[in-house]
Amino acid sequence: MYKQVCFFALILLIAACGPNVDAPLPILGERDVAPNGDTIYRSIPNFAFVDQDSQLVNNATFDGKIYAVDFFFIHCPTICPKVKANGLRIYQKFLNDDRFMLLSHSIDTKNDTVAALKRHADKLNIDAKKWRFVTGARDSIFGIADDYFSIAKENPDAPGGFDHSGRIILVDKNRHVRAFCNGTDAEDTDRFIRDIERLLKEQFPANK
Amino acid sequence: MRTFLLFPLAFFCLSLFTVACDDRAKVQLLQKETEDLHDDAMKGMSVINRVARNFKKEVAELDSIGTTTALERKAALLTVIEQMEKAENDMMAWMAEYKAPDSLSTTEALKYLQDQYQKMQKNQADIKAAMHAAKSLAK
Repeated sequence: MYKQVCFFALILLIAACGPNVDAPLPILGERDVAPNGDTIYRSIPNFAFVDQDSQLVNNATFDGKIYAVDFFFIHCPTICPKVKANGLRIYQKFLNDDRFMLLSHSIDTKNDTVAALKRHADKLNIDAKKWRFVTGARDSIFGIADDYFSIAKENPDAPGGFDHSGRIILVDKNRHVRAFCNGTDAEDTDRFIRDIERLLKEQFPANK
Repeated sequence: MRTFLLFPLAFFCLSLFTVACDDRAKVQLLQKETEDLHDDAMKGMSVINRVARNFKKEVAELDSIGTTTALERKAALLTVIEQMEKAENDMMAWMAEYKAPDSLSTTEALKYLQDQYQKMQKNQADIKAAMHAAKSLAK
């Protein structure tokens, strides 16, 4: 009997120490304290780009939704095909969930024109309302990449920047970065998919 | 007599197979080296763009000052911005043109990859030179 109790207690202890899948995801990035004592989290600034259907994509496009972000090149021989494959898995998983979207920025603003983005999206058989492939002024794209990546970085001393990392970033309804994964790694993408589910549960408690 | 002929023929076939495998392995190795070089060079891309953006802001501020020193600094900054943007554009052009040589013969693939490797080596050197030039102007 004593052994059984010890065994049960050990199981409880292990369960308590493990990751709590129902706990809210942390808000990533540096934070400030407002004069009234409130914590101010870094959020994604305003942006405006054009997508594969020549439609304007800005912050309002993602109002009331959570979204995953990445930076890519259509003609990328190494990292992008792997990130694209994992991005497609995320897309398929949440295809029918209107609370979630994907946003891919092309870094190659010269070659990845709107027409090229359209061909790329069509080749992937993507619903343009769900997954926006955007382009814009080169400095604006690099600038917003700095904003996303400087928040979603593992080492606080490392500079931001996309650095060809294949990283996919999860942004919540309040423009806060909540999670990221290595988009070249299928297992890490699986964990990221679970993070998306957790965030959906947290931010849309009454739905689904 | 038949067995006597079979041995050299088998040896000949085996040699051909070994040479073909060796060449294919060379192609795979060179492809990996070229793509690794590209990945390594890419690590500098966001840095040079960030520095170029900061330099552009400074150029705009210098425009309103108008002194000789300011104009000299502006000219130096513009030269380095141009150098950084060229390195960035060359990388994009390389990526747009590069294709894994899957449909080429072994000889063609080796030739193609040697050429691509050299181009990427030059691009990487250009990125480093641009970063070095930018460092010398950083305040």
